[in-house]
Amino acid sequence: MHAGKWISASILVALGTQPVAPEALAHQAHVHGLATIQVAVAGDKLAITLNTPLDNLLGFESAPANASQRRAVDAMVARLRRSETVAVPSAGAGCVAGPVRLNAPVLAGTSGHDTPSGNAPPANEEHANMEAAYVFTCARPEALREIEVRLFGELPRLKRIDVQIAGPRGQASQRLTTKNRLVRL
Amino acid sequence: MNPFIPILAARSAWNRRLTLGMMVLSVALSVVLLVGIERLRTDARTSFAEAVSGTDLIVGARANPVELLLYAVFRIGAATNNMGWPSYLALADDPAVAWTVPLSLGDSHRGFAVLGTTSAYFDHFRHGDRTPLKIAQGKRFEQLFDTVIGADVATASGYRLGDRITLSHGAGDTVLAEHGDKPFTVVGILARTGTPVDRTVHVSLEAIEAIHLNWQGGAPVPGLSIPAEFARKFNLTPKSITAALVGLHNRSDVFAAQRRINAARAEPLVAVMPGVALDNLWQMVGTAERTMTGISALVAAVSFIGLVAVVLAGLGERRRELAVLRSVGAAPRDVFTLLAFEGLLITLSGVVLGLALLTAAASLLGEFVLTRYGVVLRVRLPDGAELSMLLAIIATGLAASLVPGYRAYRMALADGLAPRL
Repeated sequence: MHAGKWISASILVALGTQPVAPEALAHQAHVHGLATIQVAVAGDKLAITLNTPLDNLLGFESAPANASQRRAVDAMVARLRRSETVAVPSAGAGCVAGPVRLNAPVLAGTSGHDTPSGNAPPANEEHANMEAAYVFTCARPEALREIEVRLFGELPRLKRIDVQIAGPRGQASQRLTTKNRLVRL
Repeated sequence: MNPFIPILAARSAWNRRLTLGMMVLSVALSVVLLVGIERLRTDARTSFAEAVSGTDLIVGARANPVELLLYAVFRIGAATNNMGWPSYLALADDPAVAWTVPLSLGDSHRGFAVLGTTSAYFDHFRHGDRTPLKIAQGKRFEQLFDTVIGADVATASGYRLGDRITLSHGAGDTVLAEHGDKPFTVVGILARTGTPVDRTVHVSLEAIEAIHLNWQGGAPVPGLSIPAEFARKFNLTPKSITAALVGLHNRSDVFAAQRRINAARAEPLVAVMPGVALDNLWQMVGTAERTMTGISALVAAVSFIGLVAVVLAGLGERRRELAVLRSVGAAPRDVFTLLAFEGLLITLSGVVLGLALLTAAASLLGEFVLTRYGVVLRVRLPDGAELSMLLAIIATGLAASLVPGYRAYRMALADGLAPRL
């Protein structure tokens, strides 16, 4: 078989048999300085999901390469795990934070470890994101009017947050900036 | 205040009715601009939001979310690509999905859009404050060539139950080709909703397939005609649809569902949260809106400067009139009040005329704006932001008329009785 044909045939076979990773079809937007927050309210549950380029949090987007970068990752992870430094719902609603779930493949297994883990994504990825998911249980969800986002002050690289809301009053979209830090529900 | 002053002011103004009439008109037109733009803005937002009130997601082929929303729900802008029928079936199987309604657009009837859908449309479509659709007369479509028409279609064309109509291929008023061989029977007329539903001819998805059976490459195949009664024997499963409306069991699952749909492997799809896409649209047009409001505020300012200029210029002509008033006992403050009152009268008449013009425009252009842009112009009394705009206009008018009032106040009695020649 002619080499060129063989190569194109094997590419076709590869395309046909290998599942295409979802990421291959749906690349996330990645803009430094910009983050997104999704807010969902259902019953007494308030779910807040933050998605941001790691650059906004750390200033770099790779597995930590030295001790100072590792310290930066540890500090950032510790900070994100405390929901009160990220988002604070209306005091009157009596919301209590549940466990926090952090998801940043590029940092897999690195936080608090000296050696990078084996399942880290390929080094040629140019960008990496952090997803932080918070769930609150609210005693008086009807009193849930706003959420104060406390990310801007301590993250000088963060300039804007686009917020999407799905709640009992329908869907909405808002834009937060350093001057406007309240999500209105 | 002397009780005769308002009467005097009115009579004096009547003498100069042409000049002042022009001023009233100029104030009225600034009211029309300022309040009209604000009203159009709020009406557009309300109309758009009300047309998608019960839908959690709108799913279609990968496209700009705002574009898909505008085309699939409002039939505005460029047509988006179709999504495959298998993708629709997969979507309906998603465990988070409570219901789906397929939408198939592309044909028209006398300029009204033809929508191919299923009976689920009548169950799940919501408008306004989550109000379901109501069939005013007749029933849903059951037979292949049944159609249910919106309230505006019925009014504009005078159709009644049992009437036969033919659909046209393509959109708009220019009819390129008729599906004349397969007429539809009107079996239902929907109650008015104030949404694009009113201007829609609803048929079943199978009917959309059936009328295109003997078509190829966008035109009827010459010499081939499949009579309506045989169309049922063909496989009428659609190959693709324009978009699907999706309702979820739990509305807060929308982000997860959206993520799953956007990552669908079989076909690149986009799931649009209608409320979010609309807010994004308003954010995009926000700058244009602010510019328009700024320009109309400038126009209002110009008309008030004109008001001051006209009244000031008129003072020259009225020196004698004012001096006579003074000589018969009017104090300087009476003259001041007279002029201020006149300014206020002009402004108030301008506001009233402006609102009347606006109401007339809304009634006259309502139909056009509704059919062309899908926006319901509501004839109503001013409220909220409009009311504060009107108060600002009246306050500015009063402030502007104080200027000539002050000038007249300062004029000496002798000034008007012995004019220099």
